[in-house]
Amino acid sequence: MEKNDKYTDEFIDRFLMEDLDDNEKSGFLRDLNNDELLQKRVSQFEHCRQMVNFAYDDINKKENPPKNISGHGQWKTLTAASLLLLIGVFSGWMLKSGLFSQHASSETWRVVLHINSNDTYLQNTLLDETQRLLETYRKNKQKLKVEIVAYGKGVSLVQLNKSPYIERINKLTKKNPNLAIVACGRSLKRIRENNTNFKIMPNISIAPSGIRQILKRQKQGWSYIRI
Amino acid sequence: MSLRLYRKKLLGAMTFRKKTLIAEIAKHRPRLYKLCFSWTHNYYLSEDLAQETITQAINKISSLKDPKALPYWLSQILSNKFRNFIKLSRDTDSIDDIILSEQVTPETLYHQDQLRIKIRQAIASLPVGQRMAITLADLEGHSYIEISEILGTPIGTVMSRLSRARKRLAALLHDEAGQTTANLYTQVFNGKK
Repeated sequence: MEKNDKYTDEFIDRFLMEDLDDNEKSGFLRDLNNDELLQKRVSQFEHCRQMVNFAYDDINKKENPPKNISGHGQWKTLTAASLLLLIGVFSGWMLKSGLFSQHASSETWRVVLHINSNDTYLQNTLLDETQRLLETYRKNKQKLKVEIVAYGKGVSLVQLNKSPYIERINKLTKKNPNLAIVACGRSLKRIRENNTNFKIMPNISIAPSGIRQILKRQKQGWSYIRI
Repeated sequence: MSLRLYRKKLLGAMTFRKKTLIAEIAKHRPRLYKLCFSWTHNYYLSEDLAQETITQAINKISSLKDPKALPYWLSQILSNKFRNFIKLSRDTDSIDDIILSEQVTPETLYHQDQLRIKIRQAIASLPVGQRMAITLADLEGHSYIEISEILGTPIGTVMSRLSRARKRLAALLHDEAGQTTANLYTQVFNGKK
């Protein structure tokens, strides 16, 4: 609030929200006509209001989240490349910091990854890199726990009779008991409202909320890698 | 009228009132989702929190004394849910200090409207407390007293958050061409509201 101004910010807000009585309004309009600084303040407030409204006026009008637009296949490559880079950097950092010692360490490393896309290219990349991570740590006799959290359209990764990765995931989880896959309960509920036949693999855990699961893991000190 | 019949009619009236309120609560879902999105900029989290708000409101419907206060009551529940979510991720920071980083996702980046993106990024860079205050005021049209009660903060804090948020947005949206984004907005849309 500016000092020595007759009108507070709250008063200007009330004017713009048409929350003034007739006397207050007529007095304010009279002053507004003669005061350029007051006009500027009112204009700035109104611009701010319009901008904030404009920023979100498409919410609820379009599909949320929006579908992928064709011609943006470049994003698949970019996000997959980012994932490769992140896992590479993470593993490289581990190597450099001497954590991959010749002797097995008692410390367990924990990594949570998430997938929220039904793009098979991204899902395939996620599984490739998870496998590589598990193999690297096993070779170096390091203890590792990996959790994949699937939410939104990402739950299609574990959809029975639909996902192309069922057999691969079964082999991966059988060979690596330190790998867990968690599906978001909320996402499943939403999907099942439109598709009652949507079923997931039997050995998949379900968390009430995928996002909260990721937050919980981060709070527990897990490293988080995002696609 | 016998006492038994009176009780039956009263119960019927209360059940009808409850059913009507529940139907009204469900209608607020898009509004709650939009408000939550303006705080989180995350589609899935906004859906989760909006759904939790609706569920809690339905479960605690008997605590709503005045049906006219329903929109404000729902905003209050949503605000509490969101602040609890923030606490879950950051134990000790005050929401005046927390800046949630903008989630640059493919969905955001292929949005065609650059002006909208720019404004959202500016809003996303505000500390959480300021972001909640400015969206409750400008998006929802709540008064300062209502914002104070929704956020559970003194009215003076609401005023200072709003003032700082507006100044920061004005500074952030002043582009290199020397004209404000607000001016660009006005030029593009000819002052359309």
